[in-house]
Amino acid sequence: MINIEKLTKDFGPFRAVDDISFEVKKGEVLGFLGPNGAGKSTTMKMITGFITPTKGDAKICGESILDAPISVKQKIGYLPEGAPAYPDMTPFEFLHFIAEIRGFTGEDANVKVNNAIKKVNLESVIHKPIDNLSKGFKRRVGLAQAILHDPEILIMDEPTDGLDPNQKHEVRELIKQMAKEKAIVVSTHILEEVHAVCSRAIIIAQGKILFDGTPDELSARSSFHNAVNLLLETKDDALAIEAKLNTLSHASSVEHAAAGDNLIRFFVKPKKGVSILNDVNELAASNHWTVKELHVMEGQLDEVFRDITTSSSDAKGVQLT
Amino acid sequence: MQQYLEVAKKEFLDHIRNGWVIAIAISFMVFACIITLAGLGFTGEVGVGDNKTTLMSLSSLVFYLVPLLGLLLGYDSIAGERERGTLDLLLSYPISTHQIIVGKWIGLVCVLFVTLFLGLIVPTIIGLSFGQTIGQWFALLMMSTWLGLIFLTLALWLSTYPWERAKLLGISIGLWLVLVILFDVGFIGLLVATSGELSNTIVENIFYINPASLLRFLMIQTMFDQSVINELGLQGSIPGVFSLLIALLIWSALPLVLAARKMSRY
Ligand SMILES: Nc1ncnc2c1ncn2[C@@H]1O[C@H](COP(=O)(O)OP(=O)(O)O)[C@@H](O)[C@H]1O
Ligand SMILES: [Mg+2]
Repeated sequence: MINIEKLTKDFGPFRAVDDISFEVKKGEVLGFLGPNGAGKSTTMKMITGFITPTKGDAKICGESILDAPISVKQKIGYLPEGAPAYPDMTPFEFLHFIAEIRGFTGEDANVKVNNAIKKVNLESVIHKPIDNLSKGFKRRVGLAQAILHDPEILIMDEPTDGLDPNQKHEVRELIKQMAKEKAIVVSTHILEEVHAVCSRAIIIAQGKILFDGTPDELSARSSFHNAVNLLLETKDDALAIEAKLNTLSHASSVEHAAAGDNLIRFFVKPKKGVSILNDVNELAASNHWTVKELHVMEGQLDEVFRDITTSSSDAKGVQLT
Repeated sequence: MQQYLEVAKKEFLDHIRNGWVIAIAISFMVFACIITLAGLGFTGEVGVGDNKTTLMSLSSLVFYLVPLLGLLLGYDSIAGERERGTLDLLLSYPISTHQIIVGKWIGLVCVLFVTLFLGLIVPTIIGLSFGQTIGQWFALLMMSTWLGLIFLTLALWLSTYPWERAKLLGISIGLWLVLVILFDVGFIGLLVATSGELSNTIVENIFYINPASLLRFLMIQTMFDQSVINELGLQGSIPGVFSLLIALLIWSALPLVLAARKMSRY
């Protein structure tokens, strides 16, 4: 439903978005990841019409944002970064204003507004000025405005940024609920979000796409993917234990870190494509170690993220010199 | 059509809600009342109030203050939305950029009209009870609104440029200083400096670059009789009503067109 074709945006001599192409289908939630300044917001602003692309195009349900902007905008719901709204208005006034701007009138507008209010649980505050609302409620007002017309496409720029854990959870649940009938793009720099809501992830840095795949594929890039996390209570020397773990035939490397009084954490990384949990478990039993924790890791996303995004800036540095 | 009106309504209600209309209308009214009463007082004779003096003082007040009101009303209109992030939102809706600009413009013109109406209503009642004609007061209201409208439209156009609000405010106040306060002084200075050798064509046409002067001439031409013009020493050097109207219409429409064009290329 969303087809991004070689989108590029220059601000003067600076290229903020560089030849980005991707596709999002119905039922997909695409996580748009990248460090600050990567070009996430700029890309979203081009899709939603605030910024005109320098080059390239985006097709929404087959229609170009350049040729049919009005028709495209009818199909998109957009939550800009920070969920801006008119502070003096109440959510009720704000949503009615937007309904009218979107061309709904009378009963139709009322139904649309009421549905949106119910979906995001805004009932308790609809007549208070938006300025006086908590951050969580403000974000919900932003969400309500984005889903008011029940769009096929939802574009959300950092929808959970700055919220407390409960509020984050609420917003994610809402996104998951809506995922089935829509194509959704969510930008974030929070990696846990990827597994929580996304069916696919794209990582961009300095305007370029560096990774495009499923969250599992992303985790698999981590050297900690399928590694075993072992927490022991012991007075023994960590290096001695590490040496024993290293003797396991399937282990590729072992790291350790102190984890408190008499506690040591070990990360046992397996050789590619093998499982090492049983081996570690047996070794622990035969040595009578006091095991506090033992589990397989999915992979550390922040490691992957750092790996992917910093190697690109190194490459750029080389180019420049 | 619905979109134009909806944008206009919102712009209008925003200024009611945030107290702009009330605050400005009351301050304006206080000034206007003082001037009206002072003007009536000049004549010494209550009841035969000197229309001319009062109206002339009032139109001076209008001439100096209303352009500033217009500029203050307009400069923030797009820039404020950009800074708050709501312009991003507005442009993501299926509404064209000229609907946004023209809608806002209509709303702001209504704000201006209501503010000036409220600001002038009390002085009008005072004036009427002293036997002045309603036609002149109405003309004053309409021409004040037009004067404000021109400066409002200029500021709206400025507002479409992606500059900071502080910069836009600075430019707006500068524009007011140059066109309203300094223009006449500069003009006289020019006359003196060239020791009257400036060609008549320049003297007669220089006013077209300043909408404030044009509107003041229109006020003088339509609200006062020839004797006032003579008193002011302006006989012969004021453009005719027809050319004034044409020039003022251009001054009102051109910035709006430019604003809409600028927005569509954002
Ligand atoms: N209007 C603008 N003018 C100039 N540079 C801009 C503008 N908007 C964004 N940028 C620059 O483009 C880059 C990408 O910004 P942005 O898309 O906001 O990143 P992200 O949302 O990924 O944090 C940043 O370096 C930013 O400074
Ligand atoms: Mg951003």
